Amino acid sequence: MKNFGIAILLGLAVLCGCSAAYRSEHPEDLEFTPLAFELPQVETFQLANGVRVFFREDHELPLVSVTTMLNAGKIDEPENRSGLAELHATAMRSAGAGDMTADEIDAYLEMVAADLSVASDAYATTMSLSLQSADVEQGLQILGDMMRRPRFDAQRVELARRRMLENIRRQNDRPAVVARRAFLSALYRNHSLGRLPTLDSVGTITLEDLRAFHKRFFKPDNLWVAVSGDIDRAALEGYLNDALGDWSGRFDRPKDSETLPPPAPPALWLAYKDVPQTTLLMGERGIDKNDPDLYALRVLDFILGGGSFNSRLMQNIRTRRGLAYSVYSYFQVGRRLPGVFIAGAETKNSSVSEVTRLMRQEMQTLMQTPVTQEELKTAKESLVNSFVFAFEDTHEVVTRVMRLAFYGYPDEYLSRYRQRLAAVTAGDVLAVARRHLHPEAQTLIMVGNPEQPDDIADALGLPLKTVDLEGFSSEGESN
Amino acid sequence: MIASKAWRRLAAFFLCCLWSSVCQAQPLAEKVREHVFDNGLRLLVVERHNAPTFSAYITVGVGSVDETNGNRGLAHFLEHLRFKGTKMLGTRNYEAERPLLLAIEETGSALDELRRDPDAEKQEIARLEKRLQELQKKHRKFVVTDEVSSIYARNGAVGYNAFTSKDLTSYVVSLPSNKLELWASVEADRMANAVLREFYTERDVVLEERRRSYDSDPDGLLYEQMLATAFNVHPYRHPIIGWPSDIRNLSPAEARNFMHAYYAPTNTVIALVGAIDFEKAVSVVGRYFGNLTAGTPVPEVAAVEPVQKGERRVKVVFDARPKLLVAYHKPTLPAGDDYVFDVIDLVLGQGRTSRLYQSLVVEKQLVTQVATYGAPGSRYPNLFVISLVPRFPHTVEEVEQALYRELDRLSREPVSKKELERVRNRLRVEQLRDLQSNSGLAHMLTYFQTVAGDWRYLVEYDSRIASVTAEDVMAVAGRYFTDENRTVAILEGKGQRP
Repeated sequence: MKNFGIAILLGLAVLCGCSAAYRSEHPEDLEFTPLAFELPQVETFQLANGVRVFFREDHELPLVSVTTMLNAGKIDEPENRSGLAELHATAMRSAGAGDMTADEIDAYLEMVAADLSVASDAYATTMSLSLQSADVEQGLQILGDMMRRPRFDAQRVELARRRMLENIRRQNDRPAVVARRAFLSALYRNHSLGRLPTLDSVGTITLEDLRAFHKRFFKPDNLWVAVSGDIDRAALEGYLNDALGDWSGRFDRPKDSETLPPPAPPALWLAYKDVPQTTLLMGERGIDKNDPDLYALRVLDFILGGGSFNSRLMQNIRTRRGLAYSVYSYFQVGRRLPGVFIAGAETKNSSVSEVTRLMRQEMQTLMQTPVTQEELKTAKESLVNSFVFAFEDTHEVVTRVMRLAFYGYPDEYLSRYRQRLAAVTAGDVLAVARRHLHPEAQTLIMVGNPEQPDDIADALGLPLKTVDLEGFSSEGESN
Repeated sequence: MIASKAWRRLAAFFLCCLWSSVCQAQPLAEKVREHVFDNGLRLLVVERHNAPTFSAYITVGVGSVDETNGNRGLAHFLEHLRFKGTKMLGTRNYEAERPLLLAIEETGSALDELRRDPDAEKQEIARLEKRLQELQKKHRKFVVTDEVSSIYARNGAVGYNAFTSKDLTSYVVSLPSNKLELWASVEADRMANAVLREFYTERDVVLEERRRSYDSDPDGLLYEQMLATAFNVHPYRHPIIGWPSDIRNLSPAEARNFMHAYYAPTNTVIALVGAIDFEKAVSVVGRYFGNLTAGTPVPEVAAVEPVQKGERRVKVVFDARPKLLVAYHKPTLPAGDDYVFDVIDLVLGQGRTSRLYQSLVVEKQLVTQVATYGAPGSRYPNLFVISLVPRFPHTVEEVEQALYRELDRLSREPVSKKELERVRNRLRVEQLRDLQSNSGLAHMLTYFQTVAGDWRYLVEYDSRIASVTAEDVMAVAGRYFTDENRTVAILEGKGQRP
């Protein structure tokens, strides 16, 4: 590659006389000084009541960032209360805390230009606070109040519920959203990870449900805190002890014995929308964080569809054929239970059949033929050399270390990450492709108005089923 | 290329930058170092040594506003094409591939002409289509697909991308700090020697992008129709990506001419932010870009939007639930009234204590979301836009009336001291937050250098905002929030039960 580049360069210099004095040295012939980089250190300590703290000072600007995590997610919702974790997070933030009403909290935070948000995902409730260093004490008090003394004022809870219901009414407006929901519903079925909030489930959540959920999870030994910025450790410990030190109680951690029901049998699901382009998703259950194939799968995914313009899906469907603007794949690493493997694209209604075939074919090829050394090199070097960007932002450094500890990643995960990626061979990629990709047994979702859906289903060897957009209960399923 | 899908958020994003860009004169003015090369290329550098990385923004002051009837969509399409390599990169042998490129261009142009002709013979079209496919297949043998992307990736790049707005085009990437020269080498080569390969295939990609971001997306459609209604004359009325027939007729010759004239040092500002040394940056950039031909300055847009003489309304019927955009014409920076609109934006629409949130979301509960932003660009007079999501069963009419009452109140009652204090604090702290990110800062610097003509717009911004009074807000609200100056775009649902 290098020598070839020089040959071209010389050829050009002779043939076109190369305009002006422009130096067109091939970029791959440049030499670079090695990059000096050490993993930034993060301090950790614990309050007497079990609160775990991750901390890094950074005095560049007079700002402080705080992120907290607790085990309290979608996975913890009772069967008929889908949406509880989300409504709880919104209500914690917006329905008053301690001695302050919701309006008083907002008035204070916005006057000092502080940002505070609460969100929930599959496993955790996460709070994020960004403020000026002068306001840390007061900010941590409010954060502490929300965790220890949420008011759940009825009117504000109702407001939060109404906004959530409106979002549910609008969930069929965008094809991408429809596709994702249909996909998760088929893969996780009646498990809480696949049960999506409905008008009914959100409508029946009571204040008592919110309080019970809160009481169960909000305990000091279930709280993880990451802090970075313009503050020293002594001051931080003082403020944290003031806000949380006299908080007591023990978190009754659920047993990790959970399993998933089998996914819905493979099918081609069609959600009809009157639009000129079909949104396409295909995939299956993937891996969790303890899977030893994780590193080889990262390389595989880069080559298949995770490496943007360097991936096969992008090059063969977009760059060479112009069939899509966006086409990608993604191996989601499940934090506790297996995540999903997704490949997706959007293409005009007349080329859905071709794109579906090409996407499946790329997966099959990866299972049959080892990837080239060139592809392997690009994937590994990209993943290894861009690792430094995980540490560009101080707060991201601290939250990353906290998140890994929160989910029980091994201590040496970060320090050995590059080494493990670098060790992946073409044989490993082939082996994990065979182990983790099952193109013929994947779930496919089409949202749009694809031409000849029956023919597409026949070509794939899958039954064609219809997504019920109104109830969003899939045909033949009883959720 | 990927980010260009985000044109709509971009409008809001640029605005965010505007809000967040107040800079106490000292911090930013002292951090930014500047060098202008003889060919007009401007380099801005901010050294930040927290991590061994840097972000690079190359911003060319040419966007979709600089297009005319015959080449609409070209700025955005060129952004895609300029990822296809150069005479050196992306090819196995440029001299050998050239005849094929010419044949592809000839065939493609003939095909476009035939497709425009309603009397054209179908057979002839099919023959040319087949010929084009054969040529493209032959040409593919010379292409090293996405070679630059691969070089950057192997060297640890992240965020390799570009985006086009109404006003400008930016090419962006972040790299480990020892790769400054790699970046200069690749990007100077792109500026001097870009070859527009895979033209017709990429045109199909842009058509897919249009289907995705506009024709299948209710928000995209509504925004597009709002602009096309609010502007009659000024090119801000046209979508960045172009109308479908614009895209289908873009030609390689036009693309080359446009590129060779404008994508050149005289219209370009570069910002490098991160762990790099200023003197070294000047030397490396000078070595690679310093001898490039200056290029042609982008001419000012001559079209001037006439004063609007009455409310305009447009409906978009789509398989989605109702939404609403309300827009008012306003001046752009650095007009005094534009600073007042920045204050109005925060008072009305930013945060849980803002007036529209309090009134429409919390008290009346007519909408679930409200947002305010400036659009669609900043080089020319633009719009203040209010976006509203009605809550069932409330109607668009109810929401409109409630909105107008709040706008009217703004023109009759002075905003409180507390509201102004909140606005100033927010702007001051946001500028600090913006200094936390290499790429965010690089974006801001090249953006304001390009649309305001000088990044120091940011340095003065804080004091200009501090001088805005409650009376200014009342006067500006009264002057611009009138029925005559208003455009209302309504998304009307079809095919969905409540």
